Formats: sequence, C-alpha cells, structure tokens
Amino acid sequence: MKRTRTPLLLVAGLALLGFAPRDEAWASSHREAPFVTRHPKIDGTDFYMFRSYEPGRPEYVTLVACYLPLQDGYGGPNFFALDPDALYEIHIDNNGDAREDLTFQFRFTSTVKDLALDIGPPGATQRVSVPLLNLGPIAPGNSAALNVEESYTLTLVRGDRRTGTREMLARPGGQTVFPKPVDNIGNKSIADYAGYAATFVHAFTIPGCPLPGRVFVGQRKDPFVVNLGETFDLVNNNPLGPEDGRADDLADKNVTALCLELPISCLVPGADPVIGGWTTASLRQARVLNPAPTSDGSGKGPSVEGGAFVQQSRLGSPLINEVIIGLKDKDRFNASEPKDDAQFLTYVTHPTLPAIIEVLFGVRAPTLFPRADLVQAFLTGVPGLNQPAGVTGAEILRLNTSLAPRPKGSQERLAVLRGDTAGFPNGRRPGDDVVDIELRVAMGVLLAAADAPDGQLAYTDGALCSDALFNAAFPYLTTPIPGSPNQD
Amino acid sequence: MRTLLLLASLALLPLAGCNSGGGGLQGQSVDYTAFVTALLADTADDADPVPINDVPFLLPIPENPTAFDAVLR
Repeated sequence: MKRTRTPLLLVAGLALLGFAPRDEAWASSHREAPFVTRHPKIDGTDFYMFRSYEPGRPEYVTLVACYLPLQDGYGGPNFFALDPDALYEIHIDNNGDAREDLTFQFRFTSTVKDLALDIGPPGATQRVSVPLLNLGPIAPGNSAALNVEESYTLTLVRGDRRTGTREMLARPGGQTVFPKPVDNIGNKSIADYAGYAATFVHAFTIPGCPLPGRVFVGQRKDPFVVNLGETFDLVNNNPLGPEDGRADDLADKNVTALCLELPISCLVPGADPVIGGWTTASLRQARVLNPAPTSDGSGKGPSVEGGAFVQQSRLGSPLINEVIIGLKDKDRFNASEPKDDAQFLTYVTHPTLPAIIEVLFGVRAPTLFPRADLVQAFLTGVPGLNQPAGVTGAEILRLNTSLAPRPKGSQERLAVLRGDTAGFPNGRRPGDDVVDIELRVAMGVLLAAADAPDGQLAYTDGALCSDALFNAAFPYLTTPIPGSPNQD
Repeated sequence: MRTLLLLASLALLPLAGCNSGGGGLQGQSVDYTAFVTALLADTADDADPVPINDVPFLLPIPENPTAFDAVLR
C-alpha cells in the first residue's frame, strides 16, 4: 500500500461519505461487549471474507463467521450447539450504500433422539434415558450413536434482511435441511473427526445463479491468534518485542464457524467489483422462562420466545468493537446497522488506543486528527484498492473481488502492508495477522513521519499468525481441538 | 407492518393507566404481561422490534403466582 499523506480531501469528504462527525471503532470480537457475554451462543468472534484460494476455485469468494468463543474441547456433556432460537446472518452489500443486498440466514434445530437403555434385572427392566451426548463411536456416515442431531436451514434474502424476497436454499437433491456435525467430543467417540466433519460440506443451489455454492457449519479450532491475556492486562508485554515471542492464548480453544463459498458472479451485479460483508446474530424480543419445563411434549420447554428478531451481535472488520468503540457504546454498536454508523465516527477519527499505548510505553501516538487513514482502512475502503464507487462509510469488511487470490504458502501475514493486496484490509483471510496490522495502522504506519513520529515501528502482540496455520481448501479453518486426546 | 399490528393489538388490550394521544407505545403505560403475551404470539421472521425506550411498563402484582401461567398459556 502506498503511504497516505494527510489525505485532506478525504477528511473534507467525510460528510459526502455519509458521516456527520460524532462517534466510532476496531473488532475481532470475543466477549467484546457487556450484554453479549450473557449470550455466548450468539457472540460473533471473527468474520472473514476473501477470494477462495483453494486450487480450482478462482471464481468463488469464501465468507466465514465464527461464533461461541473460548470453547474448551472438553466442555461436555452438552458441548457447544448453536442457539435454536437465534437467527444467524451473513450480509453482503454489493453497491456500497451500507445496506444489505443479500443476506444468508442460518436457523438451527437440535433434535433429541432420547437414546435409552434397559436397566434392571432380567424380566423387570426399565427403559431409562441416558445422560450422554453419544452412546458409542461416531464415524463418517454413521451417526446412529449420537443422542442429539443438529441441523440448519439456509435462507437467502434479497434486499432488506427482514422485508426482502426470501428463498429457502436447497442441496442439489432438493433437501432444505443441512446436517451439522457434532462437536469434537474426543478421539474415542470420533476417531477420524476430520473425515467425519468433511462429510458435512454441502453443495447448494442458488436460484438464478449458474454455479452452486458450498456451506459448512461446525466446530473448528479458533482461527484467531492473539496474546489475549496480556493484551487486556494493560498490554502486559512489550509491543515492540519479537513478533513470535508470546503465546497465542487461543491455541487450545475452539469456535463454531458458519462457512459459505459463493460464486463471485452471483454477488457482484455490475461493473464495481467491491463487495462489503458483515455478520450479525439476533434473538427474539421476548423470552419467558418456564418454571416447570416439560420433556414429554405435554407442555413447553425451558423458555418460550416470541416477537421480532433483535440484533445482539455485529461484526465486520476485526477488533472494532473490541478496542475502538468506547465501553459505554459497545452494546449499542452490536445492536446497530452499518447504515447508521455516523453515530460512531468519532471513535475512528479520534481513537483512544494510540493514546493508551503512548501512556503505557512512551512511544509517540499520531498527532493528526481526524484520522482519515483509519476512516479509509475501516470505514470507506482504500481508494484504488477496495473502496466502492459512491461509498457510504460504514464498519463493513470490504473486498475487491477482482484482485487475484494468493495460494497458501505465498500470503504475507501483514497483507497490504507488505504489498499483498489479496488480504486485510482488502477482505480478510484466516492467516492475516490483523492484531499486528491494526496496531501498526493505529500507531500511524500509513501517515507521514511528521504526523506519526513512531509510526514505522514494528508493533506486535507477539503472537504470530500466518497462512501456515490453516488448510489450503474450504472451509480453511482447521479441525477442532478434541475434548479427549487419549488414543487408547 | 407486523409491528403496527402488534401496537394495534396492544392498544385494544385493557391497559391500566393509559395516557391519551400519541402514536405507537411512546408515552403510554403498558401492561407488561399483555405486552409480552402479544410478542410471544408473533414469531414472524419479517417483523420489526417494538421500540421500548419511552414505554413505562406496568408490572403485575409482585409475586403473582399465576403470572407464568398467564403468559405461557
């Protein structure tokens, strides 16, 4: 990326981009807002959008939305099913107006099979339900021993996410129910988890689109890499130390990933190749807890939900709500829509993170305000790279789909900062080291030395992320950490 | 549209302490049980949430032993 030297024209043009200076942010997003910590199943943690770099898939874009953070593999006996009362969505804006044009909606169902055993002496046995998620080994194509089957439907909404035209998507055989793999219980229950999970990559047809898409929803090793504990302990490590000198605190954690592979030709309607993407999760407005839940169908379950879906989680670019948006506004940001992001603009134009790093470590924060470089990186896209024509500024991950992908092994972890325009902030690949990238951008790597005297230092959280950590094919994220590693 | 229908249905409910005038629920005291009951009855996917910032809710008698039954019925 070329250095951006005081882009005054951009500053002056903020109003033209749809911003009225007030308040804004920066988000990988594990437990980033107070209210969403009460609802971990709908806590969006990371969002990725990139040209598919699996060999033979150049005409596709991959989108990955991760939910349910900090899963320990051993978190049984119920493990980490998604919320059957929630609405999970991936949105695409394909004309730069900060409003969704295409929305892919995921709705989940958990079906309890109620496996039971005959208990008691011969002739006087009683049939008793078992307490476990499985009652024997599970193998690719054989889930008979599984006590709970999780599945989902996939709906495409064109236009407004609530009032637009809705089409339920189907697999090539016409099935509209998509099975989801159970979590990685352990090696005794699922000896070949990678092979088992691979059978849950489903093709689906998109009405009006000549090419099929692919979808996978399931547990994955958490793709985010960060020195998490030290970062939130007043950055309790040297941000100018070795780039690989600290542990990735998420190395032993899993998440649940909603992964889509979609044909570019069906996402881009015109000549502008730039698309924007983000993910949201919503709950119904009312929930009444049942003091006497039933399990035999005679009454209601532990809760009854109703009313419209109310958005509780929102995620586009990494680390926005986490380290840019002020604490008091984090819940409000999660409930907001990109078209209304002018209300958060000040958080981007006048960020607090550089000032905090200056106080903690004595390095000099940028002195140029408003931070038009951050507005480009996080809100409008960068001109000539990923800014759509007539853009409305909004916290959306933006991808220029005309730029060729780089295969695994040749991706620069600092992406655009190292001349690799196929990565962040032009979309985001799993191997992009967004913590280091955003630290450097926040401290002024894109600014002139007069405006950011310490802007060229190699800021890092010390936890190294690269494409070596990920697979070379859809869904790219790797096999989750098993709950039980024993092999005997 | 569904939000309007919900608001209209709430307007027909016996709301204790209703104020006069105004559109939607803003400024009107609303019986919380009636409000939740109306919400639970609406599970459409295309509805808009009901704004509640300026709605004073009237809560039923504390420790009402039939409150759950009333809502869940």
